[in-house]
Amino acid sequence: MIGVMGAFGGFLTMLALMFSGLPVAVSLFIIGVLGATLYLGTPTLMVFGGQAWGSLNDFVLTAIPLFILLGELLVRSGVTDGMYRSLSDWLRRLPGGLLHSNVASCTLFAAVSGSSVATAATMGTVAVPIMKERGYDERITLGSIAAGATIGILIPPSINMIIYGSMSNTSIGQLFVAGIIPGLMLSGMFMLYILIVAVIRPAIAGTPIPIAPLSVKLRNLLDILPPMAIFGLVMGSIYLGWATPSESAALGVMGALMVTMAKRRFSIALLHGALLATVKLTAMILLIIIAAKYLNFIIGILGIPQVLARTITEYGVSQLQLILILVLFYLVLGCFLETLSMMIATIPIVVPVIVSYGIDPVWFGVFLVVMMEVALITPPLGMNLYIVQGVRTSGSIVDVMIGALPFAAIMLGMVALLILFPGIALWLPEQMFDRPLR
Amino acid sequence: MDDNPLERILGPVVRLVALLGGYAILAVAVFVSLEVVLRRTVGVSLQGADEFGGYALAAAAAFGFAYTLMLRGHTRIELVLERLPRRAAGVFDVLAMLAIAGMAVFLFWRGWSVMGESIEFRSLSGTPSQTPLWVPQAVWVAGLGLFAVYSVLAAGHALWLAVTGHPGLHRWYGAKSLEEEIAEEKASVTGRGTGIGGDAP
Amino acid sequence: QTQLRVAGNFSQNQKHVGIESGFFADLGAASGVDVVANYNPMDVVGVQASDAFRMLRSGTFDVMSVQIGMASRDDPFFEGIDLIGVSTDMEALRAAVDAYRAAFDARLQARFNAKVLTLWPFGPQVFFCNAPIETLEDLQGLRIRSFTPSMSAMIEHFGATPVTLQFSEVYPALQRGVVSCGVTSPTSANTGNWPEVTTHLLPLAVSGSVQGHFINLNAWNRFSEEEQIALQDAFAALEDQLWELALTANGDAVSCSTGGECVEHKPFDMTLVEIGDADQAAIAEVAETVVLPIWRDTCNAVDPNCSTVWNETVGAARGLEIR
Ligand code: NA
Ligand code: NA
Repeated sequence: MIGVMGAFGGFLTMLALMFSGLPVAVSLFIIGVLGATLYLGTPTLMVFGGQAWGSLNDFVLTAIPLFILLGELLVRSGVTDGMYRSLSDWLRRLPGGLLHSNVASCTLFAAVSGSSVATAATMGTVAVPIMKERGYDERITLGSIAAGATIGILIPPSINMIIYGSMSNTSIGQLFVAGIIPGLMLSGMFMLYILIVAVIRPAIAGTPIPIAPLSVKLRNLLDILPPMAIFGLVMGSIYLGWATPSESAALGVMGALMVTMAKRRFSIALLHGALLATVKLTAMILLIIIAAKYLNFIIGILGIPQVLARTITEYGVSQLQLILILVLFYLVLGCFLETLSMMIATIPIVVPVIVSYGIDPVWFGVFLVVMMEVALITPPLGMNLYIVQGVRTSGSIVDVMIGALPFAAIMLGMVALLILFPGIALWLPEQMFDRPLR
Repeated sequence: MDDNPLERILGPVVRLVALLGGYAILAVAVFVSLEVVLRRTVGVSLQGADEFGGYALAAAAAFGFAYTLMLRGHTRIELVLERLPRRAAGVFDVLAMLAIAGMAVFLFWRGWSVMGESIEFRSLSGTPSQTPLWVPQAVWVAGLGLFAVYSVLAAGHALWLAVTGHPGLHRWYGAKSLEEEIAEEKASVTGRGTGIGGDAP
Repeated sequence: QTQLRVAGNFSQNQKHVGIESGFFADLGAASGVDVVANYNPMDVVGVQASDAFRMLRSGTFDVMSVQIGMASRDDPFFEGIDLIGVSTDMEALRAAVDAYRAAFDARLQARFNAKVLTLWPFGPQVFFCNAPIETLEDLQGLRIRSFTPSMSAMIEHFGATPVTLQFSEVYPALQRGVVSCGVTSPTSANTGNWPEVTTHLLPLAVSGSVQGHFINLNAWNRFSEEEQIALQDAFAALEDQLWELALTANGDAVSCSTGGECVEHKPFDMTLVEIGDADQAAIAEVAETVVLPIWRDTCNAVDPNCSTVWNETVGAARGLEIR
């Protein structure tokens, strides 16, 4: 019905619409409408309302606003400063000092935040002023925050994984669990890199924070409890089977509310601020999802994924080659596109192809999220770079870009490890769910 | 930004509706938590937490569409626009507003017809609660209606600003620059609670 | 040449999708009608089972594989073909389906501009429990996953608590004891590995999960009368094949799941509970006292003739009456 060239033309048109500044949701919608009117006829156009209702009236997706609300509440409760200080107490003796606290805080905050940009903004605001004051090397400081924050979408909860799971019919619980080991490994690799650089060039680390007595250190440890407890509540309830991922998000919101109250920060103004921020972000994401799912419906009827899969097979592309092509594809696209739009626009086409190649969809979800992490710190468009630069308020963005580059290389190393040892992602879900996938 | 006359007139209503959407999400959090706890402890299921959570999400999203548009929060890629002369970028800004208004009106029209069919067939939810489907759909369609009205007015306003060469076009309907997004992100972190802190995940 | 846009069964029902996609690819050659079908499983194109009647009416798809239970939200009349407790074995179910077919088709044509091509069961819906069950009475106090109003009513009638969960969530829910029992067909349970997390299989069919293939009337009327007859013959053969599948596959799945002879499912070691006469009677009683009255009230609200039509068709075939 439609050939590879037609499909490719559609994809390029979609990119053109996006780059002409049309809202991303509208660009996806227009391509769907074009496909419906050019190839399929009016009924497939008129069904847009029913498809939109079906996309929104979905309990699985309630996890998105719930995890956003959880993050908004926690950030407003001010737990992050204490968390950073406490981690610094213990990590500042390592060569590289506070640089390790950056990565560790990002990793810990990732365990309660579903978004990398939120992680970057939060940890950047806390860390950048202290690091500046203590005379740390700017580039590696900024790079460690921009890159460390990307772990926010790899360690659960992760809004990107919820969207991937929902669009590809993959278990969100398993995706969450699959991200834990790669997330911790990545954070370990970042710290190892910092350690090596600090040993070679000790000058990158600034003056240490004065040593606190053990009793103070132990008392400060209380500050890392709230995020740990909420992570335990969310993942524990999933693991114990008390709750599905969406239900665990609801429990997490209750936990965050309690933290806000315990910190004596709770007020109606704070609540309303968090609710409005949540609605704004949710509406933005869901309008894109409505358009993307409609486009998915049109693409499916047109049989584009099958055509694409057939073409790729005809060229004799192997599984490994396919993955490498996708690494390149997302690396290039990731330089110019915002990650959420990029994921939603490509999942409907890419996932059926990788499934037809026998690639595990949970593994692919982790792979995709790591590629999105890379995109967050590759110029010219890498959201985390700009957020960190924005927190810093002076100097050139080029410093952040250069500082983040080695970390991007480490992430690609992580991708290579995932390809060589798929068990990095799949072992834990297999242990925890006796996983018979699909 | 707040001197946009459209925002000055409709802003309070749009914001109030969005806040209602926020409370719907909060209600889901409470209701679902209660369901989980009761199910574990007393073995009682409230029945339908998943069903009503779905309705709440549909309503909250629809209630937020206009609000997000008002705050220029629907993602646009400004990479190219930033490099165009102000005049040319203005043309694309108007096009973007017209396009989103078109999508909003179409969505409202088709959503309205979905609700109409539910009334015509007296459709029930097909879940144990047997909810008449038109009820949650009517709430949803109301949100879509506000989105349609606001986006049409905004598109008309943007077009008028372009024709008269008013500088407000860029400020009120241009793609959000990175600086603005970063400023909002920081504002939300430092807890100034403007209610517009948000981010792209 | 006529093009048909077809939405098929769920892709996780691999057997059915395999049969369907083969059938539609072959339809032109097998029937001698110049027709080409563009077939996609419904979840692949993002179609919800409950939207089926609306999509048929609007012509979004020409032919759809419809889960009648889900789609009945737009008209409870269709649910009458397979109400809980009415047909407890496949033979009884076939009699009920054949009795209802004409009325079903007439109503589908009148209200949704579509025509019945096939009607067949997915398979008997039976209990899988992770608690020792010997009779239906043992369900008392347990949490059981429910997905329809009548099923909730039945579960409550047995003194158990109905819990609503999506199908994909039932396995972990059974594993962690969120629920004690789930109700589904033996094949679905076996492919979904439910026997890994349950111990007792109660092979009492509460319904047959009847499904069908329906065609939009505008699409149907594009064919000449001879072509329609040829197509009807082809679909009749498909229907027989799917009934046969329901019988053999589910028999094999029960046997495999309970450590018996095993051909094409995964072997497990569940306890197969023997059904007593008391259980048969209990199910029949639930149908009479709970399920039929609920359905009567829901359906007669839409069309006052509902229960009369049912009494003359399914009721007569099964010896039941709605008062
Ligand atoms: Na996270
Ligand atoms: Na990038």
